[in-house]
Amino acid sequence: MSMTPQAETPRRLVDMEFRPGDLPPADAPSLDEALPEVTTRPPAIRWPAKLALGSAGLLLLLFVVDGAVSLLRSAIEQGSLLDLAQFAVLVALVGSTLWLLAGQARAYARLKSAERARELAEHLARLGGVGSGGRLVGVLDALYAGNPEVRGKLGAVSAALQPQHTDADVIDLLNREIFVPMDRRADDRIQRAALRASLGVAACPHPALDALVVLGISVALVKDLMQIYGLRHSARAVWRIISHVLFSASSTAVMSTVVEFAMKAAQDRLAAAVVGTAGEALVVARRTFALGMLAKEEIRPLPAPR
Amino acid sequence: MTPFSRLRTAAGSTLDGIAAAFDASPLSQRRHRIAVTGLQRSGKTVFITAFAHALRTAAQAPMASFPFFPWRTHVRDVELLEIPGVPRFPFEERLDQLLSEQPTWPAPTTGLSGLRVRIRHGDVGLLRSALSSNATTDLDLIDYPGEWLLDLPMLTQSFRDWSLQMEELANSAGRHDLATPWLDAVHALDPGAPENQPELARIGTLYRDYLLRCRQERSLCFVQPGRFALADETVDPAALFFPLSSVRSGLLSAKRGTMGAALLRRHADYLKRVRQFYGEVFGRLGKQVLLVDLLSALQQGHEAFADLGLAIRSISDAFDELRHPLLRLLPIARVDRLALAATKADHVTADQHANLVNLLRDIVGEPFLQATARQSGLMAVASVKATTDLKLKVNGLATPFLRGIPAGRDEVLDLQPGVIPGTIPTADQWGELGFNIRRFEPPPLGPAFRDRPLPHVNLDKVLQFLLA
Repeated sequence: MSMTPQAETPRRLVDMEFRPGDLPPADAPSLDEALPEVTTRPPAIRWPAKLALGSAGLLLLLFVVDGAVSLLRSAIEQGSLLDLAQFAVLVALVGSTLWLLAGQARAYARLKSAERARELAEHLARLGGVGSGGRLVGVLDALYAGNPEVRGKLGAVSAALQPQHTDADVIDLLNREIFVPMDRRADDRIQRAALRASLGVAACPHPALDALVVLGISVALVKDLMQIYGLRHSARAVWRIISHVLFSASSTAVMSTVVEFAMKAAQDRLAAAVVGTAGEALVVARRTFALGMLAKEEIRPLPAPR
Repeated sequence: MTPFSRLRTAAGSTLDGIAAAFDASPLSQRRHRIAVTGLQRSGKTVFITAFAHALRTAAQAPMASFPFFPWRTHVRDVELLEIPGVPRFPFEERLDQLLSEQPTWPAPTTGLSGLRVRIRHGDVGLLRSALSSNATTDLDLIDYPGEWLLDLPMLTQSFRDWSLQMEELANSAGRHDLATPWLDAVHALDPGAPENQPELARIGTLYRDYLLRCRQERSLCFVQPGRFALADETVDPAALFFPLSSVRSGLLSAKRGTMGAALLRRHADYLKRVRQFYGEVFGRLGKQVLLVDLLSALQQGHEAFADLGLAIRSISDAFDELRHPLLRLLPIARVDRLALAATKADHVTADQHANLVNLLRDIVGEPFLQATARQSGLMAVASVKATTDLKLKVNGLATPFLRGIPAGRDEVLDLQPGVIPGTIPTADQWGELGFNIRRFEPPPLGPAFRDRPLPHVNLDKVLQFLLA
């Protein structure tokens, strides 16, 4: 095994010499090893919020069912064709909405959460060590198991890593080669959504429509960001994003109402309309941008480079 | 062709012409002088060879070769040229040495030489991009014997101050036995006696022998004058001088025609050469690479390591002193980028690189880093990687090892170099340190690597830091 002659047996490993094959190779570290320090996170959603959401959903369902039952009863008892048609359209609307939601839920479930990778990356960046970057690459490889393009890039990064590269080096390289190009597409998408939201709100005649426009664009934006990064946000983050969207939509409706009142009260209605609408559009654009950045932060699997 | 399309064609041709003229004009050319600084055997020659070769091959290389040198995507073309007035650095010969059937490390550098790397690239900056998509940058790399660097502190000292420092060193525990023949001869010398050339040559030769023995027998690096410590360099006996603290300069200087006056004259002539060297290499400096072989000094022991620390501190103080007093106050006078590299990082396992960098920071000192450059970076570097890192099981534990060909051997072995300290050890800690840092032969790469990047440790980070 060791080549050192018996008469001069050294005491220290550093003084010994071995031929290749004398010592067995060590096993690679497991990806599932627990992290030594894992901070406990608070519960995702508190029970009053859950109760509020659940109640709102149930109320909406009861309204729809009540409406459907009333229409059907009226169609049967009074032979009203109009009520029958309305019932059919309502059933079609509910059915197609549920089908769309089911499809989105299936797509959502297929995407994995970025939370585990982000937690590991933040932990490694805090420790500032060397040698654990391969675990991060392994975790990302598992997350993007269904995405051959990203897996190919992960393979190239993995091949480029050397033992002297620190964990911070690995995170930098992953960001540069894989996630910064995604960031560019995401930023572009966020800017376009903010512009669309501001134009949409400026063009809408009614505050309720403003809220719908903002809601629709926001949901579409979050969906697009998930598609760009190939990952979804965690359950905890869903509540943050939804509350941000609901706040944005409802405050837009309130803002539109205030602008309408101001327009009616103002002497120069045209000037008031222009200024009010422009101001409203700016605020909506800024809020949509902020939502996009929040969603991007939650979906992105690694901390963004400073 | 319609009038509008004719106008469009004419406008396009005009813009193309302007762009071509701009490309050829000095406005699109930048020149940076990179001084590769380092003491003897710190790896300057291999660094310059690997640096120039990396630039030549970087553009076509896969990402895995230079993962932390993304600026290479801007490189269009690289040319190696001579620097006017400076002997050419023997790049092809050095590369052949490394890629031959039986590769060897380059012999110690004995003279000044330089290499100009002309890079045509696409990173032109926002303003220039309006006119042209290409720019040319010349990098002047200068190689010189590391011993010459040790002469720089002499420029900031009088003959008497220098003599006092050298006599104190010669009387220290680690050098006294080597210095005894010279000390005995110089104690018997009367500086006021009439000039006697043979006697000066005899004592000068004894002093030079003492310097050579310090280098060769004790691996001590702080030896002055540095040119006297080059074993292969022939020194004119009429130019030899030595420290003698009883000789004063200025108003109380020795009378003409005496031994003391001769020493002062020879000392002044020597400093003229040193000043010329300093101006040629370090004047108009934009970027600097300081290479430090900490590992060899660590392996030699406490004396050698302390000596290295003294040498680096003296050199860093000299750099500060030698700048014009006014310039010292101005932030623009500082070097733009200073890369400090602890070389031969492939002689320890990768998990020790952080300790190596921290040790380098400790020995150089933060004040020097802040005062010398606007941006400074510390790295553990191996210009040509001679070992492979691997993990082997020892007593059931995964232990990092190095695989390579130890110096003087012809077979591949697995070695465990141990743990190096992350700060300068105190005197009583030296006995407890657990490392054994070996030297390695160059890796057997072969001629196939003439057009491929050489294996390295963090050379890409140095390139990115200096160029991007």
